[in-house]
Amino acid sequence: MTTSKLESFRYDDKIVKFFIIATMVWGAVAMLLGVTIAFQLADWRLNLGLEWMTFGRMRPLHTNAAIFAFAGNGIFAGVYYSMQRLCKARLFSDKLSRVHFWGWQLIIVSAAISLLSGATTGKEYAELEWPIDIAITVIWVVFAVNFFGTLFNRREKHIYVAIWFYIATIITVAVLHIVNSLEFPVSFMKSYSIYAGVQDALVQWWYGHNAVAFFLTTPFLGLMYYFIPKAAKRPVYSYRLSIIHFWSLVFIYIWAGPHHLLYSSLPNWVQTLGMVFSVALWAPSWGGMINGLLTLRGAWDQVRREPMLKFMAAAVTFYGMATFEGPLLSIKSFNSLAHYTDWIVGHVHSGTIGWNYFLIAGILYYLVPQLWRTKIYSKELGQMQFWTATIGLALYIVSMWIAGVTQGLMWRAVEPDTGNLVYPHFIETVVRIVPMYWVRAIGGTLVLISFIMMIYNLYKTIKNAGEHEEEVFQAPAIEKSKGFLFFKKHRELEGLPLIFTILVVIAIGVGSAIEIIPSLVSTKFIQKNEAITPYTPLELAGRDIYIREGCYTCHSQMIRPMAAETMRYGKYSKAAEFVYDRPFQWGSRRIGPDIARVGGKYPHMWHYRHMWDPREVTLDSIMPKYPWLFSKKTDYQVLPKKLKVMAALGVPYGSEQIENAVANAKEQAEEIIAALEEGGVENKMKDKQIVALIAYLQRLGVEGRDIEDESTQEEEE
Amino acid sequence: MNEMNEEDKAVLLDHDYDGIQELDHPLPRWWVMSFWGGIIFAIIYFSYYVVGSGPSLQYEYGLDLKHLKEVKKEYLKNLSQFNSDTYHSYSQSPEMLKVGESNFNKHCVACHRDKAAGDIGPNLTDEYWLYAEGTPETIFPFILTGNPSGGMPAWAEMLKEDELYAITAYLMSIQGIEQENPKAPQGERFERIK
Repeated sequence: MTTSKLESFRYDDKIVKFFIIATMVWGAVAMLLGVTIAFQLADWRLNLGLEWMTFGRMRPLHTNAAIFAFAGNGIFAGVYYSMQRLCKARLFSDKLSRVHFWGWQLIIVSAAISLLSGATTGKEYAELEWPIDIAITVIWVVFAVNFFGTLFNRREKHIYVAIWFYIATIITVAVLHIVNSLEFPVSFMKSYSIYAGVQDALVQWWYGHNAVAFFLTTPFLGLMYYFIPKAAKRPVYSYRLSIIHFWSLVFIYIWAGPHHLLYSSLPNWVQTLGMVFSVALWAPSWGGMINGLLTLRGAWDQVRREPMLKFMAAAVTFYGMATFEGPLLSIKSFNSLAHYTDWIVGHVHSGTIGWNYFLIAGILYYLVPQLWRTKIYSKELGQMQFWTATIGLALYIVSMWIAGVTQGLMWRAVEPDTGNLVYPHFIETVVRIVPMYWVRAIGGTLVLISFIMMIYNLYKTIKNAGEHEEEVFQAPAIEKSKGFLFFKKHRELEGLPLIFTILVVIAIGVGSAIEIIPSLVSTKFIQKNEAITPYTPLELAGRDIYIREGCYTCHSQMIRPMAAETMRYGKYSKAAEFVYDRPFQWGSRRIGPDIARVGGKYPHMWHYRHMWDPREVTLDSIMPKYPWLFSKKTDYQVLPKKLKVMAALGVPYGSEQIENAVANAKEQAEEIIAALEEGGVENKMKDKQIVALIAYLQRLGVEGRDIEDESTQEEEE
Repeated sequence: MNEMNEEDKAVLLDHDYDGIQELDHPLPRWWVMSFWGGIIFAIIYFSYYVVGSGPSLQYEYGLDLKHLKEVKKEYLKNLSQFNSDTYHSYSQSPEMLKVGESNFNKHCVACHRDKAAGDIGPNLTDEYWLYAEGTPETIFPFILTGNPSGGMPAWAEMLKEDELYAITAYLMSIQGIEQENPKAPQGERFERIK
């Protein structure tokens, strides 16, 4: 072996500082949004009757801000800091780093503006419209080039476990984002998904679940593997465990998406795959928790004293809790109770607050004094922050458990002697849990306050710091490996990042391909039914209003095959009913009732009143008012274009239908207004958006009513 | 790095990343067992429910539904027999009329308005009827089954027997009352029987 000459280099810590500031800013914004929508559920008046302030628009902004703005910037800060040190190399390109930073902040700002203005694809955590999707792809590639370039320039032969997790993150997020965002533009801020119905649902939840896996888990595990040993000054507990839990986690996670669609119209075999892989995921997840917690062995007295370590230890513990609860909720019988309820909301927050916020807090308490060469302003304030956050989170999780289990049980309660639902009015189950909404909002407020304490603490720390020189480091260059196709031990593989990356691609590719491709290429899984016709132009316009207002954040359109559910909502939903749904709108939470078969259930006038003020028809409703639907006109002129795009995606609209779209829509509006006029509505309302929305709502589930249940067929046989 | 005990020193790996060292402790046994346990469970569960003959969700649903339908049928058979003795005991009790009124205000006013003057649904105090004939014998069974396609739910599925009788009695008690701004008559005229 030849000893190479020592090379001198500096780290780019400025970019890390940028990302740290952004993390603090967006974290506060995301949590403020969360607190706002939490109070909106407790008291509907806080929707203020303003378009952009309604829950349906704010909730996607909250989730996107928490995941991509807060956690995202936190990830970039931690990755850029640790990557340079683990590779003994400056980041590949200062220019790319800056493009990455400003590009990402610009994406966040455009996301905020577009989501509040109602531009949304209607797919959870992927709501951003196509121009922003493209921008995300570009910036992500910039990040990847910068990352892999640094890896290429490294002066440390072997790549450390943290970097394995970073590689898995970068590759998988790119694949997920691109595949799920494939859409066909209608206009500058409107597009239709290339997938329809069941396929769209499958791709979306493959994405949605793995956004949790590869945006909120793997990068954070990577950060844990760097920052916990650094902060605790303790060696990592088990290298072997790192290897096994890394590969099993990456391989198994990607299959788990369909557990979001249990009891849905998704083919049973895919649902079952999603469930069993989720259960099998428990041990790999806990492998990470064990390695994190046992690394802290012998450092527990420090954990008591240091807020930094306290946050890290608590983060790993909450990670363990959330990854135990996750597999549990994936088991069909648990899922049948918990799905669509607040239990899931609580589960998600034990992850995003308990794991992501807490780990970021620990990392920031490590990084800020390091980077600014100073001491933390106040450890006492850090302790106070920790306890405020923990109490807030506990209130959050417990209130959501109570709300979720209560509502889940009320939905399914049946009187044994009459066979009737005990709570036939959905609103009874809402009123019962509103007190829990108050508790949750208070818990959330405490979490926000704790975050502001940290911002103040770090601000004071930075302000008190003096000037300092950039440090110069020295290390020898490494010889580039040649002929690196074969390796005997994992340690050798760690010297071959390219092969490593290829293996990661294979690991995430297998599950993705097996679950998704069959439903895309075969009609066997999604049977068409002649009774189901495409939306009329006016219904389509109404559907786009439904998507714009984020109705899916509170209403599902998926009736599960359960007796208590079909008694409440009508026949269970069939795959064939959704073949023209781009995007699908199955929803994930029933803050209000399912509306898959609301069509024809009420007269037009009921909907008219309901959208004006829901309390006119349901006394205790917590739904916002939608007065602007009564003053804004339906955009008829865009309809031919919309139909054309749909036709290009395979919806059977003939050229005549496309040409006559406007006339056809006006005709249908005329019919609806005729019925409304009987109730005293003026004729001039016919061009307003409310009429298009009524057209859409009144067709929901109507055509699918006559499709046979599978079970009745079995009985007859 | 903090002080390390002997046990840790024995499994310390000869490697260092930015000062981070790694131990190579063996995997905890309970963890290995749950790791394989999860995989074995996955194989068995999938084999039984997908490859094998395990019941589908739809099949299990069918069984539940069949049972519930039987319970309901039995219940409705008894309920749908309009019992005029029961009815009269309600219609002559001011207390029960109160119960009927409060139930009407809870479930029916959203469509029929206060005092049943008619709104989304018809006026129920005039002499014109769409589905009933203005008598308790015809009103009661219609409330039970409703007309779901026209927006009137089947209330037998939501209300108890006493509530249904009480609502019928209340409706009969407000026939022909003075209404402010009632909805225009709908349906056929049936002369009120005094």
